[in-house]
Amino acid sequence: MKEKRGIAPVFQYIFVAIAGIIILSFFVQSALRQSNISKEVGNIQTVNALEDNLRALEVATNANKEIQLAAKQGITVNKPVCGVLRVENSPQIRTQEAIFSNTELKADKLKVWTVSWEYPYRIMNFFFLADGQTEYIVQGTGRLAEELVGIQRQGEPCCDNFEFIPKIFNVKTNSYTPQSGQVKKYVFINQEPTVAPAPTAEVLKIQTDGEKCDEQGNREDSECTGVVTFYKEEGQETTVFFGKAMLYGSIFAKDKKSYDCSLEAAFERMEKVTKVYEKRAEKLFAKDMQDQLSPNPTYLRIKESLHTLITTLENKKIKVRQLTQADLQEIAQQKEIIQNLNEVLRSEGKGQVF
Amino acid sequence: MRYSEVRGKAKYSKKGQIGLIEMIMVIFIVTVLIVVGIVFYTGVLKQSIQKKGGEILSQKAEVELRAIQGMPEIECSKNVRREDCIDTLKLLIAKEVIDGEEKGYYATIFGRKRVLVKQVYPELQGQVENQECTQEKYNQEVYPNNCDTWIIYESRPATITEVNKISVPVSLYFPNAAEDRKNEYRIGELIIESYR
Repeated sequence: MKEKRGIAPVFQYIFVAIAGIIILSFFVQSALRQSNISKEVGNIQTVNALEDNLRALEVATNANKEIQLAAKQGITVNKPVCGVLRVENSPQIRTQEAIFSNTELKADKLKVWTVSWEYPYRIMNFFFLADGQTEYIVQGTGRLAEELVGIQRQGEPCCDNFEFIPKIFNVKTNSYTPQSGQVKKYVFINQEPTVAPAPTAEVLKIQTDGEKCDEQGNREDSECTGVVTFYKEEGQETTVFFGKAMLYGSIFAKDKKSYDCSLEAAFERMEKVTKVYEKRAEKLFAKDMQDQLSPNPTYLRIKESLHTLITTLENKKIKVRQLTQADLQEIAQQKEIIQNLNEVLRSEGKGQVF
Repeated sequence: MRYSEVRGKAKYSKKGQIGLIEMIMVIFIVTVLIVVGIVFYTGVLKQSIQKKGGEILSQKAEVELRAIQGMPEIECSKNVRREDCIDTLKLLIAKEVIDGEEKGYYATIFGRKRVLVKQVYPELQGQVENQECTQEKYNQEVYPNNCDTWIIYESRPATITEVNKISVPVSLYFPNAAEDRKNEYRIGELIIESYR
C-alpha cells in the first residue's frame, strides 16, 4: 500500500517535466525562427535599398556615393548568373543595370560610382561598385594614366567636366608603394604589365586606340575605344571597350566573365534605345514628307544606318564573350556614320534625330 | 481486509486521479492561452509586415518616378533640346517598343505598373480629354490638340489588392507641332500606378 501511494507524485513530476520541456522547446524554436526571419527580412530590405539607391543615381551623368549598410554584409553581383543582385541569403533580384564590380563584396560601406554611357547618344548608366578591400594602382606614363587618378597637367588648358575615378575608391599612381594585406589591382595603361597575377594581385592592361581617351580638347567620351586584357594565373583573356564609361568598367570588373555580364546588359539596352531612335527618324521623315514636296533624305539615311547598327548589335550580342578588335571597328564605323548624319541635319537646320 | 482499509485505498486512488485531471486541465488552459497569444502576435506581425511592404512600394515608386523621367527612351536628347523635358515623339514610339515588341525586357525594369504621361496645360477638354495619343492621332493635322494621354507601359496582375499612384510634373516637348510647324512646349504629368 505504501509503495503504491509513493508512485503517484513521482508520476506527476515526470509528467510536468516532460510538458515543460515540450513547451520550452517550442518557445526556443519560435525564438530561433523569429531571429532567422528578422535576418532574412533585413537582407531583403538591404538588397531592395541597394537597388533603389542605384536607380536613384541613374539620373546623374556622373555621381558617386558611399552607401551605409546596417552591418558588414556579403553582396553578390552577377553570380551565379549575369544580372542578379543579392545580399547574404536574400532572394536574388534581377536587374538590367550594368554593374561592374567584384562578384563578391563584403562591406558595411559600399562605394558606388555611376557614369552615363553615350555611344553616341545616351544609352544607360554604368555602375561601379567596390567594398574598399581593393587598392587600385594605375600605372602608365601617358596623360590618361594621370587623368584617371585626378591629375591635371599644369599650364595646359583643360577641360570642361574633367572626369576621373573618385577619391572614395583607393586609386593610387605609379609612385605608390602598395601596403601588404589588401588586395591590389594593377591597371597598366598602354604598357606591358610588370607585375604577375597572384591571389592578392589582379592585373589588367588597357590598350587604347591612339590618344582618344584622354581629356585633351574636350573629346567626346564615345571616341574612347580599345582593348582590355585580364591577366590570370592560368592565362589571359582579351576583350574590347567602346566609350570611356566602359574603360572604367574594365578597371572595376573582377575578371572577363564579370565584365562580359555587364557588356551583355549594355548591348541589350543599346539595341532597345537604337530602335527608339530608328523609329524617331522614321516619324520625322514621315512628318517632313507630309509638310514638304521633297522631304529630307538624310532622315531616311540615318534611319537605315540605325537599322544596320541594330542588326550588328543583334549579331554581336550572341558572341559578346568573343568580341575582337574587328567587331569594335565595325560598331565604331557605324556609330561614326550615324553621328555624321545627325550633324548634317543640324547643319541643314532640321530637327536632329538625337 | 477490513472495511476501513478498503475505503482508504479507494480514497487515495480518487485523490490521485483528481490530481492528474487538475494537472491536465492546467496544462490545457496554459496551452490555449499560449496559442491565443501566438495567433494575436502573428496577426499584428502580419499587419506590420503588410504596412512595411506598402511603405517600401511607395518609396520604390518615388525612386522609379525619377529614374523613368530620365530614361533615354523618353527624355529629350541633348542635341534635340538641352532642357530637361520629355520628347512626345518618343512617347509615341515608347508604346510600340516598351509596351510592344520589347515588353519582356522592360517588364523586368517596370514590373506590375501602369506608366503614362498626361498633358495638364493647356487643358484639353471635351471629347479630347483622356484621349490616348496614337499614331493615327499623330498623323492628323490638329495633333497635338486631339489627345492628351500617352501610355508608355502597362502590366496589370490578375487580381489587384492595392494601387499606389504617384506623379511628377514634366515639361513636354513637341517637335514640329501641328499648328505652325514650330517646336512647342507644354506641361504634363508623369504618372506611375503600382499594383499589388
